[in-house]
Amino acid sequence: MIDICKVYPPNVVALKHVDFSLVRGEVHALVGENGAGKSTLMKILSGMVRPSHGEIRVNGRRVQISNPVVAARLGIGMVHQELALVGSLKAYENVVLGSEPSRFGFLKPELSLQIVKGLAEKFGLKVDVAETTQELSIAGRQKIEILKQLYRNVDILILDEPTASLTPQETEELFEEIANLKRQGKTIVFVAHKLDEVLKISDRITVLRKGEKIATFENDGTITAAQLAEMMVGRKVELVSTKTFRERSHPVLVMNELSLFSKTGGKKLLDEISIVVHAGEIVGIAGVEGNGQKELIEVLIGLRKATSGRIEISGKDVTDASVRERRSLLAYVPQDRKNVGLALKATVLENLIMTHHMGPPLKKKWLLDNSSAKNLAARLIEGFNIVCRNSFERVQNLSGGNQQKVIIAREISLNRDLIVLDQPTRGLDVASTRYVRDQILALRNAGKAVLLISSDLDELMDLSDRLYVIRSGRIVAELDPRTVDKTVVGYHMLGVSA
Amino acid sequence: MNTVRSVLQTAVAISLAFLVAALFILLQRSSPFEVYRALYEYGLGSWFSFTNTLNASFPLILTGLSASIAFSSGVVNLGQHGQFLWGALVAAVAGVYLKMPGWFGTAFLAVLGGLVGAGWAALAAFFKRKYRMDEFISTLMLNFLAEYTTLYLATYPFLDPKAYVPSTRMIRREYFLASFFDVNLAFFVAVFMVFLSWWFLWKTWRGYEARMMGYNKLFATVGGCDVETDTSLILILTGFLSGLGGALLILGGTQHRFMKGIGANFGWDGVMIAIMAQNSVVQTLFYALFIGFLKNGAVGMEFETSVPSEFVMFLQAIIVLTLVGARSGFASLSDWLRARSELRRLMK
Amino acid sequence: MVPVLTQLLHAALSSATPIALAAFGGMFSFHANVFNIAMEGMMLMGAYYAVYGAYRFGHWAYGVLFALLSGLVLAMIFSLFAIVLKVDEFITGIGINMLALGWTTYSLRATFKVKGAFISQAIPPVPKLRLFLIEKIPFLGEVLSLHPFPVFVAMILAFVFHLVLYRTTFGLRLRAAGEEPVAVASVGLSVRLLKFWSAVLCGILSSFAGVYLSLGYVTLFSENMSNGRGWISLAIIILVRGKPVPIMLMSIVFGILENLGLLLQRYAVPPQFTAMLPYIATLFVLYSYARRSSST
Repeated sequence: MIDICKVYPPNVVALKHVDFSLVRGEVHALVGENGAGKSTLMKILSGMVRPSHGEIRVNGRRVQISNPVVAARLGIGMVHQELALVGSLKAYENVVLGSEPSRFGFLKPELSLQIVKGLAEKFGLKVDVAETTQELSIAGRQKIEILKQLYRNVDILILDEPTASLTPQETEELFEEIANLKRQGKTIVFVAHKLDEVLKISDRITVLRKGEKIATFENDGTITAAQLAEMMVGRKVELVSTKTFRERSHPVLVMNELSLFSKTGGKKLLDEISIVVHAGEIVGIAGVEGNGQKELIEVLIGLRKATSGRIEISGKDVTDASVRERRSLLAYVPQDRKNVGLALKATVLENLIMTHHMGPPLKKKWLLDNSSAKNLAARLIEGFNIVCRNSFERVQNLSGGNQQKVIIAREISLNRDLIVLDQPTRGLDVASTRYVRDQILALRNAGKAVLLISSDLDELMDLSDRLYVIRSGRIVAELDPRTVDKTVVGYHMLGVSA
Repeated sequence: MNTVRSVLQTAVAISLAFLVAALFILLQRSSPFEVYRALYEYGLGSWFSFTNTLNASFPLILTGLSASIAFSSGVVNLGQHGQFLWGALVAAVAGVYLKMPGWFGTAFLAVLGGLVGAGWAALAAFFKRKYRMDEFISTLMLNFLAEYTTLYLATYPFLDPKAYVPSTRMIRREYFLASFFDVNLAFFVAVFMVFLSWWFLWKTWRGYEARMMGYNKLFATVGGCDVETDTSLILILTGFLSGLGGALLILGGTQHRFMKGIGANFGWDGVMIAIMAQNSVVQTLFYALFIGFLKNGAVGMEFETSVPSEFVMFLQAIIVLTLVGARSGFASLSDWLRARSELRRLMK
Repeated sequence: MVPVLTQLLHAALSSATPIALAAFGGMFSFHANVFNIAMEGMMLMGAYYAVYGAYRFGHWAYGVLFALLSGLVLAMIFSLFAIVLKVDEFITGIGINMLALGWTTYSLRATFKVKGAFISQAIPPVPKLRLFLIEKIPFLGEVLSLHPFPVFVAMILAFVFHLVLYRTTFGLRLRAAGEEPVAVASVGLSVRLLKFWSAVLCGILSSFAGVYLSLGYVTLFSENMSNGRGWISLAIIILVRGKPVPIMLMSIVFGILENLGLLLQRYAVPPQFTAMLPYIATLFVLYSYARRSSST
């Protein structure tokens, strides 16, 4: 790939004159922080996106990769970070989608199943391809995505942040599969920002920063993670937080034997969960995505009622309270920034005053005090360094990091005793990630109770004072991150005895 | 800067729409110039036509407001037609049988019509709150129920035996709304409701919640807004506006009685106005007047040229489509242009 | 009692047909996750052009031809706005409905020089089919035989479309595009093209429903003839979650209710109230759907 440039409408420059090359049979890591352009570059290579400028050569011949079909013909395929699978279809249906074995337009399900099964065996991918896709674990779904590409005879397989939601054990399994594929002659591009993994499996590493290529070099054992991080960000980065020891204080959040049955009454989504968060501590919840975290938050926030159990915040029983009532006691930074945490088409001001509008000084009987609102917005924009033209700008025009800042600013300034954060740093660049983590620590030091849910195990280990592990809707362990190793946490997450 | 740009966009889009419609006029073997001239003359050309236009617009302002406020709050109230009919019928019937001092009676009937409209919408609110029934379909179905029920009431129990078409008796004269310089007071009431609506949406905290709900319901819910109550409130308020429109039509219109077909297309025109106004209260006023101008001019247009007045229905639809199409088109175009210029900067 | 019942069911099948046909059209959009509410307008357009074509050229086949073409045109317009220009699908649908209403009302006036309705003995209706063998079956035979042929088309289509949706590549891809467009795009298929085809199918089927309205059910065209049937078909699609055979069954239920109304009129129930039955039924349908989904 030579001199690749990409501008997204209206004015987002994703890639600036990037050169990138692959050698057959290698594992090539592409690193950079969120927003550096890694995904965009690979989307261009896999045909999902067209470059604004530049050329691509495969085996010496110049090619135009105008869509994924052309890319597939050239032997290039990509496994996206957000898995592109249709949940209600069977796994093998997802694999053959678009190139289904058929006769006169009619599908041939048995033949499809056979072909996919054979493929999985050949490449050593252990997954039940006859299962409905949404029933599979994330690791399983990832294998289906890989099979999708193998079905189309890829030579170059691009993996975009594949380990983001995997446990340490699943990550190991993935690395074995990658080694397997390499042995069979495939070329792998590994897009990541987890540097220790990158150093473990890659032959060559390319670093991108803010849309530009910084360097490419052989991974011959001389590069350290810290050096990579510095190249990714452009300056020295502190990777680990410094925490001071704190005496445990009074409990702020008490969840006692919380259970939740699914609507049809069959599945137990939450199984007698008991969690306590004290003032001045950060409690983390670790777990493979899909093990009850979503339901736990919904029950805590009030979007869903538990079937049994109690929730108490700051001494008040909120088990049956409405969302509105709970919001006067807690602050919440949701996982889904764009659909839950913000109203994208609304202005920065309108987003900042949400929940604040429930009480004084913004709420005066029937009225909304617009000058108080403006003051609050100005204070928050300055105090949290939110980059925007003014408070009347639409939030959708802000960068991802700034959007998260809006949410964080709003929630922190509510000054509640309890704050719940769900994946607060996902998708953020290093600077914003550092900023958010510092804010979380500041809250803890100020005596707030912090509940942190994250699929980034490193983050949890770094920030939490105490760590719960959730699996299949149950709390299976309560651990002290200072004394316990990451792999042990991984075992609890997966239910494997050590 | 943004407002100037959108005004320009709108002007271009409307002109485009008139151009497209002109093609159809040509197919009719008529002259677009003649047609548009007649439209203008009978819509705005004289004091008489101008005041007629204002008088034709007040029901549209109210149903338009009803739709705009509902849509901007994420509440799909499509029941303007039914709410309007009920407001009109109740005002027409009560106006025959109740005896009250003139000015008081007028005000009473207007408010009564609004309350009945609000009540009809409250049914949909109840269905939503209690049974989680989507208001989109329930308000639509209630329209049909309202149409048939009011027709029944006007055809049997409250029928005026001397009328040619199924209709109620004319209301008492003392309830007729007066005109101020040839413009019926109903128009001023409608404009007042525009201000009231604006105040509600932008100056009250419920209005804030409603607007945020319109942007993103989940965001509002998680942020602590009482979305259920807000939805019911919006349904009731917008129902009131449509019902008021119906009542005012009886009080301030020309017939002063409820006849079959009196609702005409006010309900759906209101929806169309809201779409053109992009759910903004202020723009609703403008577009309601614009549609009023078209409707009023249509009668004269038919008189002068041979183009039937129904053509205006078609013209309206073309205008809406062109307007929304042009807006989206402009948005994509400007995005694309900006991307091009960024790329050029990059290449230097 | 029995003759009343057979008459009722016979009429029910007749009333169900336009609703079912339009619902089949909307069904494809439903699976493609296109919020298409333009069935009402497409049906109306089809009804008008069916009469126009049949009357002008003296044969019902021209009516079908013109109607389907008009449906196709509306589908193209819908696609232009909703897919290419990315206008909100709801607004586009309402716009199309208004366009259809405005155009047909105006054309009725301009072309046929009448207001309200165009009625003429010279409009050739679509042929009725007698099912000679099935006729012999007691009760069922009388219900099924002697319908204008679109009725049979609708019933057959229920099964055909079931196969199309769940057994063909097109159906698989359409459903995938509706549920997870990224998945479809990632294998190089065009989501936009699939949505376009769903709009085209909707236009053709809804306008064919209109053909039946003005050339089969009755033989005339009146202003706003579709009269809410498009909305009812939408409610049905949502309730049965887009499954073809249940759509047909639900439409028959509506047909029964609509004709139950006509039956009641004989017993001095005012026509306005009996006309409300289908709409009350829709409310009830909505109620049970809401009840059902909140308990899952």
